Amino acid sequence: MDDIHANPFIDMQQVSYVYTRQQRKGHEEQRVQALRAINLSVRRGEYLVVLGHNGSGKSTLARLCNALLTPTSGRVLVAGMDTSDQTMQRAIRDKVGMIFQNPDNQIIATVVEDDVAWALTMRGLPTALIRERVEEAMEAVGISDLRERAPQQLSGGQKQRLAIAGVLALRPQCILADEATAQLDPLSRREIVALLHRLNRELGLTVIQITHLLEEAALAARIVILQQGRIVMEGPPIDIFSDLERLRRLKLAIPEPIELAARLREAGFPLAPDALTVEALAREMAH
Amino acid sequence: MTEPIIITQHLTHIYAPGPQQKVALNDISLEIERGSCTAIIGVTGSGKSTLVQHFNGLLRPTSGRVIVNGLDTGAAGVDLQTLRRHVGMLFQFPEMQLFERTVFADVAFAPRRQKVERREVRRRVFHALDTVGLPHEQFAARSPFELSGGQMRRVALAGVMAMSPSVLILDEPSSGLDADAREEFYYYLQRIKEEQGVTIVLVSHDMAEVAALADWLCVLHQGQLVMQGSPRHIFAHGDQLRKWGLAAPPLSELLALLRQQGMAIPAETLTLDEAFALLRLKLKDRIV
Repeated sequence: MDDIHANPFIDMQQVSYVYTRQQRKGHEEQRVQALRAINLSVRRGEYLVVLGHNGSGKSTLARLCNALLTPTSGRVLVAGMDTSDQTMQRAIRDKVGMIFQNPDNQIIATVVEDDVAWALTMRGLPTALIRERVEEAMEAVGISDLRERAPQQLSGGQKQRLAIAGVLALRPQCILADEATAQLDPLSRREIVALLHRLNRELGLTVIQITHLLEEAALAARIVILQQGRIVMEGPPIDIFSDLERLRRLKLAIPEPIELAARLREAGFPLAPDALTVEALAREMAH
Repeated sequence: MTEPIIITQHLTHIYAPGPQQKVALNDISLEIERGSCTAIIGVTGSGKSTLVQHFNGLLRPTSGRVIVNGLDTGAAGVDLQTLRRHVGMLFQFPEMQLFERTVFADVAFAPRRQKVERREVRRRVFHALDTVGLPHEQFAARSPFELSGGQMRRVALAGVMAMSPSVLILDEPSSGLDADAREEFYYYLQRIKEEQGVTIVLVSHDMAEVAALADWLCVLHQGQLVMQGSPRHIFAHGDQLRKWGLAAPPLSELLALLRQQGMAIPAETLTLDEAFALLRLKLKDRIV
């Protein structure tokens, strides 16, 4: 049997998650089912994009993958460890590092390199080892030349790089990026997505990227789309992008170049179905 | 041509003057036409928010002048209350500021504080709700917290419209909304502009949003006004935008790449329909 399939890195089995919320003081609590019976496994080294609009359950799914939340029912296994087992949670979070939406909430120290070193210092590792890991992490995300800066002086994109370096310093096997580009300007957004792809390719890291933007999913190995807590579509980008009507019904904005390509195909122009980025489409149309 | 509704002349703003000073805006002169939708674009820290905060007197110029509806906002004894009635501002994620028990009370908050007479408050609230596509018969009595994200944001917009402003300033108005809610929000903004003649000033780094709404763009970079023009004009200069950390909308980028590869594509092509019509002709011989 194929070892990779036998041993997925993350394995969600019939996972449901229910949270309660109180709308206003004195009102009754309301039970909200954020995820319903999710079965999903993520291979080692895979680049998975989880797409969905607000309230689809995608952030809940991310938090279940590194034991920030534990399932109401069902099981989540990370490298074979059950996230509901409290003795395993620290080891799980070391393997699965998470980047959040707002870069400012993830910065602790007053100097860039101290911030990258933070988690290692807290673990009391030897100084020489910390130095080595910090250098390596800053190098990997391209912020070595910013090492002495104060984090507040960095741009949004640089702050997210810093957050990624802080996670990388722990040598995780997986990076979970929860809407990590949502507050960035368009160029920084692309840089961060490109960086995640590079880390996936060059370091073999498993990447799970949570987003509501279809254009950020074009280069993924696999896309999973959530709606109302269920997986409603799943497959490689080429399959997912072939049903624009369905994507529209799922309230996802179709990037204009993709729409244009679809209209041209409909009008009889042969454009390769795997041309899903602006660059690939330009090549197809110009040749 | 009528007098522009907003004029800045050599506007400079310095935070914390002294050795640690930060020049947030540097010698900005611009005019915003009455009834237009003007977008101020630039990366984080380029000065966009600082600039628009001068338009309703939240900030005053360190030097230079800002004239809104004929009123010099830096003049001694300027009536800021009147200014702020003219210029409504919707901040980012405004739905976080909803707090009343009913939609009606939330929208009525500002006019009530201005001691507007009761019947007039009612009239304005109903009108504002209808304007943003939340018919008052259905929505006035509901709790704002039972609504969808897009509806909550429109309640916040109605709260600003209830003051009948002549200028509406919006900071990243659609961020965090899903595709449908975004389309709806744009639709009602357009209506406010067209039916009520309200001037809209949009602060944004979302170029798709800018392309959908604005008829004039001002590009800020490190506190300076580096470019202005129509979206067609600005988005045809994708290379320059990149220098300032911005990017043209994806469709304009695609057309720029095609141009680079030798296809004759007019610089002024902007919309999906235009691009489709054009490429259909260009690719005619390749049809199968």
